[in-house]
Amino acid sequence: MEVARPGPLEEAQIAGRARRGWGRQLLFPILRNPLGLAGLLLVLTLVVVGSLAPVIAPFGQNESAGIPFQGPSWGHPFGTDKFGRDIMSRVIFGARISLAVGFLSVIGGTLVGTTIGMVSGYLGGWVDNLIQRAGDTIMAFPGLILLLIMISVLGPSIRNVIIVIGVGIIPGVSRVIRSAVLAEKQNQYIEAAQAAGASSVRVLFRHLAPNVAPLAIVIATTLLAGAILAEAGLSFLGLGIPPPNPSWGTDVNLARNDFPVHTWWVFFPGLAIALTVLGFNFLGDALRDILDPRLRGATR
Amino acid sequence: MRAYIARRLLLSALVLALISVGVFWLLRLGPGDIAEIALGQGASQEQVEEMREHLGLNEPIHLQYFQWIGQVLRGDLGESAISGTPVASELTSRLPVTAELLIITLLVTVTIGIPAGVVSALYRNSFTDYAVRVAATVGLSVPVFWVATLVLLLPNQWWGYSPPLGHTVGFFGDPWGNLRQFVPPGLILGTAAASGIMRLTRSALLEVLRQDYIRTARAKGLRERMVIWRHGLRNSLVPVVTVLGIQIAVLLGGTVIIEQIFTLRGLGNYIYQSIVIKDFAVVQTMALYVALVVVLMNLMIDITYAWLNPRIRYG
Repeated sequence: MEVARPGPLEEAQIAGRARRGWGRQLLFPILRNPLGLAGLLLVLTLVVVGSLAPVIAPFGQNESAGIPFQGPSWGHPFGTDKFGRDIMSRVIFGARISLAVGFLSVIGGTLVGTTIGMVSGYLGGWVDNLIQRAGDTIMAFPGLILLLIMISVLGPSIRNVIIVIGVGIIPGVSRVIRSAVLAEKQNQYIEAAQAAGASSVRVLFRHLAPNVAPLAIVIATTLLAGAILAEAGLSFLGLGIPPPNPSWGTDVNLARNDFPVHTWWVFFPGLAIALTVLGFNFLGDALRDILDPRLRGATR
Repeated sequence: MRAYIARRLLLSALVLALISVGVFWLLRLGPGDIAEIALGQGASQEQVEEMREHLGLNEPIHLQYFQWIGQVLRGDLGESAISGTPVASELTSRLPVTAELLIITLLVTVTIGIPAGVVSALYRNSFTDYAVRVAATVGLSVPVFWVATLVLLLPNQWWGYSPPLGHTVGFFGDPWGNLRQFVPPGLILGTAAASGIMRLTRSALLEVLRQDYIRTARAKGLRERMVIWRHGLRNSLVPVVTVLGIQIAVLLGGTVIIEQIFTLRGLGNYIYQSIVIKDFAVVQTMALYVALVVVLMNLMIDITYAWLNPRIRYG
């Protein structure tokens, strides 16, 4: 189970490649990349399905819709679960939880991680050393076990799952941002700002931040898949989103622990997780290919 | 070399010390202390107080920490506050299970991941390359717990087949039963990890094949096979082996899930159960143990490199 952290090579690939003008430069190449396009479509479908869930879903998320343990039929395309709830409706509502947890934890974690990384890289010295050693320490620890320990202390709830996953991605993000800042602060505009008497805070947030932002957005995109997978994993282990919320991971766990196991109840929520993560992975990979000139040379 | 090893050892010790403090502190942030949790809802105030006294919970927190870490350093891993079972005895009975699972997993990871990455790099932009890359992304995306649950579930429903569950089958007592128990989870965890290794091998090899010395090797008329194997692959495996070391940490997390599904009584299962019942005395010691394994693994890999490559040693 991979937890949302950039791998060492990905780090190296992303680092130091903060680029400006990402709007037009990114969107068109994604549309030309077949896998990137597939990813974008998957993600967009998911966002639409999630936001329109009450309209699209034939039944309510916790509504008793028919006889329990039915297989797929016209009335219930994915069948019904132990409580007679329509599995398809729950999968549709589940998209909201998955996306909310994914986006909120990644946005929060990236914001904090970027700030820490910028401070670490810009100030250097003992502050930098301290932050980086603390980061090494957290990264040396198996991610999933750390998430489990944190959630067992805080108690399982949607809010706490978001916090815990967000905290988990901070060290990775701050490390990549730090190395980008190390390169970026060599630029003359930083020197100019310092010479003009700008405070460290002003240089950081007024001058460095806008130039690091595109990189942070790309990192965030590549982390979404892992964050969603992490929520599913926690929920599957019974330490994530508590029932009766329609979390896909929680539903697979409920289904698995029931006897005899109703296979469709395991199958469809799990498939939803797989497709969602696949979409975000395709999208993230496409973005990285586009932004990394070295890889671009290799792949085109 | 000696100075390098000394520096790395010192840094590893520092990381472990930080982790021990971090986990110890983290576990005491939540509501309720170990005594209340261990005794459960029905316990009277006196019982809880007695338990607190017994466990030393009335001491200041830093004294508690030093008492714990002192015991661990003297080789006393303590015991569960809930069942009273010594951590050391659980560790000796569970370590072989997780070790076997990890060995099978790593074998699968390497035998699938590296060749797939090489093929993908050598025939880049071919149909094979795209197929391998898409397969790898799918492998990274499909949740391990879902695949594992289905792998256990479907054969049982279709053919009534199920691997040995609920007890550990020793390899030497019953090799066939043992493999039936360990190979499916190892394959699942291994193929998932292979996806990452494949991508890494691919980009590392592509990177190496662009180097000048590869052009030189080709220019002096070496056969292509020689260029790839002798000059290309060998150098590209350096980052791959590093990441395999890091993978140990990821896989240890993976064992938590997979051991749960296949009801293997390994370390992942132990850690998970202890977390669920909030047996923090066990959790903190096991967390430190896991960190020790990961740190030692990385230390070994780094030292091997420093030994192989002087640029790292003096860097």
